[in-house]
Amino acid sequence: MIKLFIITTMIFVSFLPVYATDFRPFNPIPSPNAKLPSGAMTVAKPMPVDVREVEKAVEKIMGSWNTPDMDNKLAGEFYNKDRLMDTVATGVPKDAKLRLLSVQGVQTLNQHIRKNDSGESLLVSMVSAIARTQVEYNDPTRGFQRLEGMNEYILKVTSELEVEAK
Amino acid sequence: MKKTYNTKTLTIITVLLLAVISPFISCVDAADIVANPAAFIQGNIEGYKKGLEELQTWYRRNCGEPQDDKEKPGDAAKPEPKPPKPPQITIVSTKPISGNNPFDPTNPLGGSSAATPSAIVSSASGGSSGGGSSGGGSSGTLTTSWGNVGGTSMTNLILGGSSTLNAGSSSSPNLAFVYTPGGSTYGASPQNGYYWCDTGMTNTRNRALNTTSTDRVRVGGASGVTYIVTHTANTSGVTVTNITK
Repeated sequence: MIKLFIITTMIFVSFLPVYATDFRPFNPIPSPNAKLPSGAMTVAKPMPVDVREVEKAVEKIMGSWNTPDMDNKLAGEFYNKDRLMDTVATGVPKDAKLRLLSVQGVQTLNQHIRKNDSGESLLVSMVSAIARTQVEYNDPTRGFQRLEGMNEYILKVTSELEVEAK
Repeated sequence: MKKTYNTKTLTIITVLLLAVISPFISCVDAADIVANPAAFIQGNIEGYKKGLEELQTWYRRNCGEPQDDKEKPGDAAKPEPKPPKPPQITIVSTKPISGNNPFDPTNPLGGSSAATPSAIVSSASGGSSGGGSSGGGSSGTLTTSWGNVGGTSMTNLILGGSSTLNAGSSSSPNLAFVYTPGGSTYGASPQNGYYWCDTGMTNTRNRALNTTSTDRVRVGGASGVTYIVTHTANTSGVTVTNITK
């Protein structure tokens, strides 16, 4: 009797209408690009870059603006780096200076470890900093000019590794 | 009853004892000591000093610097510990929030409109055809882009349309030259102008622009000046375009 009941139940269930006509698609969850450069390793524990060091570096970078030394302050992957150097060299008055007014919102975005040519481990950090700057120069016809602006700067901080990664 | 040893037994014991310890006793010539006792004492003192120095060296190497050991003026300079290198910090990119962006490759002296690029002007604003010392006529269509560059009186002009610089090769790149009518032909540069190609080729005042990819030439400079752009992009030969600003 029990056996007959089970068989009947199974037949009944198998004839129930199927509402799920297809499966939900597996959509990838959007996430930041975590692709590391070739040969780079992840950091076991993120080590935020010292804010004071970033502030000092930003001040140096701004101080090198409109000088040949600015070339060393721009990363190799800076878009149109040569063009910026040429534009500044030819289109900006020679006496123009860039004054740093304030730095805020310094935060470390991501970090990875890579080895340099001599085999030393380097910690590469991408840091975001918002800086308020002011370009100052004297225009022959319009007199003293100042151009204030606020920009977010993505900085690459490369330092010798002190703590070994996992 | 008190136990006694005879002479024979004592002699045998003494000889055996000497035979055992004699290899460990350095032989000292008693005659030399008697002849020159000062030299013997001085030699011992020097040996003591040498041993002390060796002991100090060992101590420095294994246990660190002794507290009361002051460095003598004649001592060799010890290598200083290598100071950590300061981190190298460079700019990768900038994102304007408001006002001027001094690291904008197109407009480092932009004013308050830097955060929102000025509207692109699509209409032609000049450019006569023909002429040019190299002949060949003009096929350039002149369009103006980016309008006025804030803070300066310069305007960027683009050679568009059929004047787009075609792709060259690494061994034979296409060339473009910009000059003013008052100047000479190839290679001369306008006094107040600057120019570049869109794809990587930057301002090359006093030089020719070359490119290995399809490109456009931008010209910037003072208003009211006519610039002549020649380039070898077309297979028919040199194309000459006058741009009047």
